[in-house]
Amino acid sequence: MSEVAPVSFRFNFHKIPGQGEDSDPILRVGPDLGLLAVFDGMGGAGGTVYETPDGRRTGAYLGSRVARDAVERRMLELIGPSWILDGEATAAELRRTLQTALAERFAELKAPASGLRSKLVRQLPTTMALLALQRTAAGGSTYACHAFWAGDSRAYVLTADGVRQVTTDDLRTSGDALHNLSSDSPMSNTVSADTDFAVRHRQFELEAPFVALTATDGCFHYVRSPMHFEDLLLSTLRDARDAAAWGAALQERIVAVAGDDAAMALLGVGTDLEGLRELLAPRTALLQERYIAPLDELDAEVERAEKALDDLRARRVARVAELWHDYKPGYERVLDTPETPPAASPAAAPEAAPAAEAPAAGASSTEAAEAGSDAR
Amino acid sequence: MTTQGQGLQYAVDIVFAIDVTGSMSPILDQVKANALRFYDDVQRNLTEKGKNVDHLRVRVVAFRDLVHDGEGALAESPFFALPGEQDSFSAFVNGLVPEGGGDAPESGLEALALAINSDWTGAGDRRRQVIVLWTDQPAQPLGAGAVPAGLSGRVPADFSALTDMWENEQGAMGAGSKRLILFAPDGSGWSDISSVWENVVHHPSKAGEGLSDVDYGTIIDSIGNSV
Repeated sequence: MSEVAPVSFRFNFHKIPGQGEDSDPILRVGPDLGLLAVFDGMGGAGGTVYETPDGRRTGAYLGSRVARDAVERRMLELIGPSWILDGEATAAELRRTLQTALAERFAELKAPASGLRSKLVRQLPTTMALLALQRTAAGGSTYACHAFWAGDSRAYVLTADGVRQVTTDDLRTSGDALHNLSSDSPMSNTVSADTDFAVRHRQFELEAPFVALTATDGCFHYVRSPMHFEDLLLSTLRDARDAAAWGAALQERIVAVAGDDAAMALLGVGTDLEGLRELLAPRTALLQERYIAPLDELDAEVERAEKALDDLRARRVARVAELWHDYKPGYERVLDTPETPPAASPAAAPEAAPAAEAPAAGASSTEAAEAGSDAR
Repeated sequence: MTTQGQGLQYAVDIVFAIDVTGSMSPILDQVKANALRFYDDVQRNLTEKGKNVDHLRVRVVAFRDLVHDGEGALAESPFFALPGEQDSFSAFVNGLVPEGGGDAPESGLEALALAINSDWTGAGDRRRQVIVLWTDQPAQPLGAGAVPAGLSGRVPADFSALTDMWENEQGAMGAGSKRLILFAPDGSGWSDISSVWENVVHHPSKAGEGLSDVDYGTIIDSIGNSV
């Protein structure tokens, strides 16, 4: 397989240059095959720092790269134009491959034993989302699509009907994609050197033309809604002069909002850029009209309301100050009268008057006041 | 609005639960210094990752032993917004005095319950809620000593209920944005927590003694990297 395709790109944005914990995506393309994958080293779980010949690296940084290299090597051995991929067997094989590669790399690091005890901290932890595409018959337009994943990185397909998520997020709380944008749920399954994990698999067929992509959460986790993620894909395609420009514009739009590293591999199958643009033009218009424009209108309305509220609060503060200025002379009139000079201090302070007897338990404060009044 | 083109707002709340019994005398000053340093390190970690912390608050729950010290066994501060209320926070921490407690164990689980039931912030687009607990003793079972009336509604009856309180995704601390950092010896309460609860990092020691720089960095990253 070559690394060149009529419509394909990949990017890997590092939030901190040189310390990105997403590995470079896999993007391999042949006449009847495609292979795309992303790996997101998990900084929260893999923050342990190791000394390596390349300098100090976190477990997250190392884990995503070890996983990427091992998976790419193994998948290139497994897939071929004349061989039908057995999805379940491949998932099991990928799991074994990852376990072995990560365990070997971890052993090489000769890390001192940690004094920490935690289900949160992992050795070389990473996510994975991989798509393997195989044309089912020579010259045909049907593709067998295999998604393999662990964690919350995702694979999507984009057809004339819109974008479809084809991996299920491995999260402890089972929310939908909109809920997951704000829930910050811990992951229920991730690849690592020191814990058991599963490589999930899903198989389906697609008719070309279509777009396949894999993305780490930095690409889709910081948009306002799943609809806005599709809008990012489609609006940047609409305005792009070629595949590289599409990738650059998409990365730029994602990076503008992302609070994380972001990696993506994308492959258009069955047509060129102009063909994709034509195919997706009706969907682009529909998405704008039905989903994005109404939400943008609402957002603008909220912004106007917030601005109006801020203005109103500022006006209130100013008005209170103005009215107080008017009211104050009367209020402080007595205070302008000179104070009586204090009497000489007694040798010892008189004893405090005994406190009024506390109201009976259960009596309300009103009842207590009335009772006191009667007594007087 | 802030999630589209304007960058995210990060809000971090940290509650320090500190054992202030007499046995902490030799190390309490170090624990106080660690508390004052900890939030600074979390903020720096986030800033280095390009995450601007817009709201940072800290508060303290100091504990002794309800069985031995009665109502004086638990004391809480309000949240202090930093850096504006740094002086008040430092004054509260520096005012902690090691005394009481009797023999081991101490009322650490009650303090943890009060910490979990803090008035956590709802500000920001991404939130991290962190509890850091230091003690040199195992924990008294919940219910061993009478909880002051004003606090009893915030302290569960037993360990199972405390576990539910921590794991409850609809509870005070939500699903994934919480972290519990334990600097506590192996023993009743603490070992159970680190083996069962999610989102916990436990350094089995007397209030953090012997913590390596690497492990400290791992702890700070477990908070800052996943916000």
